[in-house]
Amino acid sequence: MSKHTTTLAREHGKNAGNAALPERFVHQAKRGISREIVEEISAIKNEPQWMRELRLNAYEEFMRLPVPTWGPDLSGLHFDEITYYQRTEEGRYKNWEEVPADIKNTFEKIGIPQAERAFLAGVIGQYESEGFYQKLRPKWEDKGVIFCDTDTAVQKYPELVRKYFMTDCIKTKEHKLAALHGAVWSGGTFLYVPKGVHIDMPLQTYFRMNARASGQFEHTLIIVDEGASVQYIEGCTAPIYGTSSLHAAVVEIFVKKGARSRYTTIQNWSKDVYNLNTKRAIVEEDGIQEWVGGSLGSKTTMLYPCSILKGRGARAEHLNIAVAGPGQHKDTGAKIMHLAPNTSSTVISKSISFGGGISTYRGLLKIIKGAKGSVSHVQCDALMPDNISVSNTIPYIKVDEEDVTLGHEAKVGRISESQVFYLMSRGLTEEEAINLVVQGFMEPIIKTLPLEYAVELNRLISMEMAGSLG
Amino acid sequence: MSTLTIKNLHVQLENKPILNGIDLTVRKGQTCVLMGPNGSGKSTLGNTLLAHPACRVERGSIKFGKHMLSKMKTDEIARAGVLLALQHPQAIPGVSVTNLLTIAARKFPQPKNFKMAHFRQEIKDTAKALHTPDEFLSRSLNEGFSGGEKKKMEILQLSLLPAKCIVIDEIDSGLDIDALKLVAKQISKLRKRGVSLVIITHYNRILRWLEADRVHIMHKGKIVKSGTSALAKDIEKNGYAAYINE
Repeated sequence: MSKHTTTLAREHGKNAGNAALPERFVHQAKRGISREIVEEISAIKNEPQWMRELRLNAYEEFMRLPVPTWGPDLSGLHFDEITYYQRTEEGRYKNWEEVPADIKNTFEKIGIPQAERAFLAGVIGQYESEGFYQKLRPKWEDKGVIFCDTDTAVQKYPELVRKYFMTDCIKTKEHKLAALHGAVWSGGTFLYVPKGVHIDMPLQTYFRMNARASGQFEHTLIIVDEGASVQYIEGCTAPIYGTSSLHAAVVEIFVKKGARSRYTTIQNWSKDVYNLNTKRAIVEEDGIQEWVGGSLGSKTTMLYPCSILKGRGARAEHLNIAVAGPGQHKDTGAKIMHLAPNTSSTVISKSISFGGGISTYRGLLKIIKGAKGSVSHVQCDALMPDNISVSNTIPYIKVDEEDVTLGHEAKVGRISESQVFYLMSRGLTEEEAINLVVQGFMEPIIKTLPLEYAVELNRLISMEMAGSLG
Repeated sequence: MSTLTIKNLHVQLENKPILNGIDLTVRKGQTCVLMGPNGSGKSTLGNTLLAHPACRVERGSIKFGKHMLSKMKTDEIARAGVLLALQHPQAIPGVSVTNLLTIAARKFPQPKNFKMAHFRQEIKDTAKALHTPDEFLSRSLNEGFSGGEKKKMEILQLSLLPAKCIVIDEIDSGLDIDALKLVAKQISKLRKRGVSLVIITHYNRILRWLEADRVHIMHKGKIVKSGTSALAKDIEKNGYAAYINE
């Protein structure tokens, strides 16, 4: 499997989101990880004692825990060669006009300020390790909504953060990358929606990793209080450099009684990034958590959003698209725990493997004794336009209750010569015909995205696949 | 102008000779019917006209006006105005006929005053004329459609793209009599626009509503008899036997 350890990414210059731009820092930590670096990060951020201790404990766990070996090959990942913290600017901006020109350019190329004006309720921009721009429409601020970067939240809302940050949902001792994250996390989004508040426009954060051999460890913490609802979107990119970088994010979501949360993420990392994330939601009585994910780019991605259906009637929906091209390994899936009666879950996972790419669906479905009347349906569709790519399905199911309804479907499809001929006979070129079949394949997930994202995702996927088929 | 000319066409399918020297001319606005028993090569001829990758032209040529179709790719042939209604239309999950048509329409030369909004309305109007409920316009194309619905979708698409010559492969199979009437009526509209028609059929049911200018009988990859619509009537009465006994 030598192709996994190739570090040079394939250039695709058309993609402005991946164009390398000048690096700029006012502070950059030394390479590698040590107790001193963890303390340094905490000191620079002027953190309270409890957070400093959380980091140091996590560091101890990181040193103790082994690199996971049950999934994709991570032997090309060298923890000593990564820079764990870099800060570009002092302070935060509330106005695009104040943002330094080169950072502004990066974000304008990806269309962020335009999108904010058009259809978002609030925006955070993060460049390297920390957020630099944040804005929430006053309407929501007045209703008590909190939307800021997580570093700011540690200072301004310590009680909320201390209660929820890597305590009940994801613990630092779970695995090596969660521990690393706990030790060096920086940036990310903190979102609190008070009881009964329904935010009818999406909130968005955009992460940009611009320096070579760097790590990005943003921590997103979302609390949707009883009866409230929110849609949150995260977009991520990194430019193309010849050295491996690491993205190890943690997302923790608390969906309280009767609340509803949709977390959407479109990730387009450059093809030398290890994208190893841990995302989990705890869903209480009658709450609904929806995960919508599009995973493009990166060298290796491991991502299995998890829903813990803790309260009676809680529901989870997982929709995921993974695209694996040459030299890429996408190991993605869903974990669902049915812990209460009448809980329900749906998983629709779609993958496209081409040019020798590997995509794996890895799922865990657990229904405990007593979770009577629970319903789960898992559907995995793989599309492979050629004969050199790989698609795997590894569903793990553990059910200890008899009164449940389960469904599992897995299909592998190819783009048939007949389909391509059919579409070409309507005047489409071969490439357009293949793109249209691919778009149709992804349509059930694309249609859940806001229009701007749907268009962008279709564009990114056809760009990734351009020239690799036919 | 825009005459379809097939000369000495030899075609192989999976290394087996299927067409063994076809000569055929269809003038602008003419309706030409190709009949013949199963396996006579009718559908292969239709697919070859649109350069299906499985059909290998060994000898001969296909010309449409100034375009040498036998040297062109499927999409180039379509954009030159030669379109095919398939015998077995493919399902395209997640893509509706409206999606496909709005993409396809942009690929063709269109009049200066072409407006997408107007085109979308035309899609709806044509569907109405074919008694196709609106929901079929937004569902995944051909996925779970009945045989009849698929055939109507073919005629709908060909009616809305700027075609000059239309090849219709076994449109009558899977259609009940009412649906066949509607489809024939729609095809007649195209003929009035000056579109040439090549109708491939096993039976002559559709000819009750569509008058043919020329009828050709195919057997073993050759045209064995040509005539007027009287020939089709004769076959209806007496079968193919009289024409295919060598």
